[in-house]
Amino acid sequence: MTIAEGQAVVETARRHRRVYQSGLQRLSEGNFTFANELLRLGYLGKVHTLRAHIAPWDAAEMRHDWLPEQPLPPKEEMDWDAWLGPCPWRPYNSEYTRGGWRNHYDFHTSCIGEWGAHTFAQVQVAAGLADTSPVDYKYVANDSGDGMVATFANGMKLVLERDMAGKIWHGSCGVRYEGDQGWVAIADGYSKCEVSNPAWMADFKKLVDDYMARTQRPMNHVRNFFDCVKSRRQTVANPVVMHRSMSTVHAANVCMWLKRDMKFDPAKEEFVNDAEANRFRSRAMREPWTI
Amino acid sequence: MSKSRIHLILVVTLLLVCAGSSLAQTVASKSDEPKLIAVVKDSSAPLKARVDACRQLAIVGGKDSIAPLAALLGDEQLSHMARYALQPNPDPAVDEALRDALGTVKGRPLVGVIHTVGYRRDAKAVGALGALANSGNTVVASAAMRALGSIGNPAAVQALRQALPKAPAECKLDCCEGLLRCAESLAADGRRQDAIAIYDQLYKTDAPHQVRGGALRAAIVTRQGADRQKMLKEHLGDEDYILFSAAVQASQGIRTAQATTTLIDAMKSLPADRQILVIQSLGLRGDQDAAPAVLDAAKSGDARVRVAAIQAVTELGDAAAVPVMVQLLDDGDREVAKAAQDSLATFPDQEADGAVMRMFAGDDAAKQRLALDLMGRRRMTGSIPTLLGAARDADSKVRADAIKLIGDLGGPDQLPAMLDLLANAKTPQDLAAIEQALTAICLKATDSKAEADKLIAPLDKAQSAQKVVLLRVLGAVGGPGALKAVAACAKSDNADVRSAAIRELSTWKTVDAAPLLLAMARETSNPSEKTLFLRGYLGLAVRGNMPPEDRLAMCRQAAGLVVRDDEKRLLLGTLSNIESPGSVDLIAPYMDDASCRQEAALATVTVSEKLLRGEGPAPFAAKLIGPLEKAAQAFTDNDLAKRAGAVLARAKSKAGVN
Repeated sequence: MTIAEGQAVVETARRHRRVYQSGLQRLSEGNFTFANELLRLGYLGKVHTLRAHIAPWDAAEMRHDWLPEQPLPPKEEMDWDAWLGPCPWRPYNSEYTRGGWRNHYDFHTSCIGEWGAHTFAQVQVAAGLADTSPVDYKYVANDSGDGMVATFANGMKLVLERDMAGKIWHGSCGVRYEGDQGWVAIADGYSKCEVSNPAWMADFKKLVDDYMARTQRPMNHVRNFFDCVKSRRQTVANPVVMHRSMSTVHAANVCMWLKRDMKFDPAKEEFVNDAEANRFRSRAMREPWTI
Repeated sequence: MSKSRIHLILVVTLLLVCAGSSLAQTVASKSDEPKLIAVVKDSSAPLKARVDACRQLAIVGGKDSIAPLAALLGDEQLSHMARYALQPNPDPAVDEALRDALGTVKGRPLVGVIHTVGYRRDAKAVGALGALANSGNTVVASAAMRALGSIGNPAAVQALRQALPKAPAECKLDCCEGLLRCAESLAADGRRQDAIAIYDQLYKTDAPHQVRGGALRAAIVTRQGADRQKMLKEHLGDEDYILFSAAVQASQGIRTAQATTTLIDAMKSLPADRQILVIQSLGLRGDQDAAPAVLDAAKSGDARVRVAAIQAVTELGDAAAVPVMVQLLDDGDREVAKAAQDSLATFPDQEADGAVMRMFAGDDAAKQRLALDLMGRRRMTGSIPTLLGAARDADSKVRADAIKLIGDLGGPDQLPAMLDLLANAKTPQDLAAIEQALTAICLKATDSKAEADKLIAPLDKAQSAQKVVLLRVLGAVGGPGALKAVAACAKSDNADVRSAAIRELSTWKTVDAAPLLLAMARETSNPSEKTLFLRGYLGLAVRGNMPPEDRLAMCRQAAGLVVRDDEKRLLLGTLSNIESPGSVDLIAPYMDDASCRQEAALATVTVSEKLLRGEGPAPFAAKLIGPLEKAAQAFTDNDLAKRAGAVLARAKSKAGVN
């Protein structure tokens, strides 16, 4: 839920040499891997723009209301205190437990995090930026963050796209990489990547096979986890990948909530000269939860 | 409640919910702080209002908010939200207030206060936390131990060390966690020896494996020079697998020649499962000095170890491994041979390209085919001249593989050579391989018209088998020129050519083929050909970005030609995919036709379901009622009748008909 919690995951996994794989399963899927390899191997030329899909429903603005209180079910059926975990207490309503937790500030990371949790990781891994964060976030005056540009220190731009009209993707959780020699786009449900140069598709098998041989990461997310349990290597969706991409989500949300441009220091993992924004980096956990 | 208090709550509520949705977050400004504090202090204010005020004070709260919030730290209902507001407030007075609360707050709220003190790393709280770590309340003690770890100064270390021997079993892990955190802080502050002392203490305890393993890994990487080397060596031979694997993991971050030597020496005396772990780490570390030893491990011994060694030596990329990999292609163990093949396919050094070409130059056809596979996997575009020669090889399988690979690796430059091969091809296998290669080459071209023209040029004089290939490739390439050429061949006297052309036309991808397909459906006297043309034509009616009216217009044209039952079903299937009330109109007459009544009823229901989905208005709903009633009566299947009944009810509801 916060930058501080992500840091704690990274530190804990390292401290206790735990193998951790987050549910960024597209990092172990052929089409997405092919797109990443096209970028890494220079097919696209100098890449300047990374477009990442954010959920086309809900908003960056989040709810703080409480749903009407309902009688608590028996604890064996619903342990409400445990369900809330470290989040602030609120009265029970069954709607939360059926997916209605979404878009509530205490439980969700907005339309930006709903899909950005996946797509930001995808683009950051593809661009070799999985261990850092954008340094600059430009506020956009809408309710979703659609069109926000976050810029990395190397000048590469991450553009948040709601793509309501389906002009960029025709599936969910899409990414698109654009360089001076071409582009590639991929989303869920695609039988194959969309590319500016169809000839690249002939290299699909080669690029994916080579990726697997080079990284020893199979196109099977669960298998990768088990392999790493044995080899003690880092998984494809290791804590750093999860934390840095979620930090991008959190920073973009803070930018939208405070309605102003933000500078971020990836080394210190804090907003630059913005004490108010830095207060969003952690939330006190409800007792007895601790880290 | 007094008027002033009601006024105050209203003001704050308005403050919290103004600017947009009544549910959405609005960040208060600093000037709102007094009003927010007033709500926090008002014990008669609704809980929700006080929670919201705390949440806002987390962002804008300053010194004035500290005392009112601190007053709530012992409140079971509001303690968390008070901390929620205090935790991010940088004012040092927050630390004072929290320290005070450590001595006064009880129960669950105390656990929360301890956590926030730890998060803020308040060094002055170590004394109080040390006392709480020994309080006998295990939940409180555990929280205090973790908080001491987060503070991580020497005083915290001392407190935790004192607590560890007498800590209840439930708290041992938290105490170890605290000490590990302290060690990290000390190491970061340059106090490596103090950190090492903690790590050494912890890996030798009977603590859970993640503590022992984590402590040992850190104990090794925090050390330097010979001391680190000695410890790494010692634990690479540790009987305890947890400590052994922790040492291996530590080695992954130590990129020194001595560490490489230590790993290699250790590897030789280890059992197979441990050898694999060491070999994988040698590959990951990337030190080429390890390559000879890893290569030795690939040559003989346990097959699982050999496979790991082959993968590791590939990662290391030492060219000396290439000839060994070539030899291992013939290994008696299939897994080893497969690993060697994968290695040659991905080996980073160009020496592997040479090895593959030499393999192809031999006279063993099986090896030649394997070499061709490796050329493809390695994307060896430089091999194309060789492949063009191999495309005339005496061995039919080598020939076919080589031809396909030209398509895989080549581009439009290879089109003339492939057309020449086509002209001289004699066997069905060669023709199939050439068709595959030609298609691949043409689809890579940026100018598809130019490629189509090159395919059309030899079409007239080509023999029938060659003509069939050209037609199929033209079908894949598409475009107006290709369409015209294929259409001309659909009137050929040669049955094979005519059949191939009709098949291509019936699966044409672009709508410009539609008028041609309709005309041919109208003109032909062959029922099978008519069905093919109609299928192609109707297939285009549901493809692309046409508006529904244009799709329906195409269906109306086809309806005039539809006679046979299979043609009617084709039309109805197409109409069921066009989301328009006009589809239902076109379907309606077929519900009176006994030969396709069921299909027509199903198409009516399918289109209506699409039109009536969602909660919005449907001005055409009334028009659907009649056809749907007819469909419901037509069904002989109960489930379909129920489906029709459901959509009929929906139509009536939307039309306002009871």
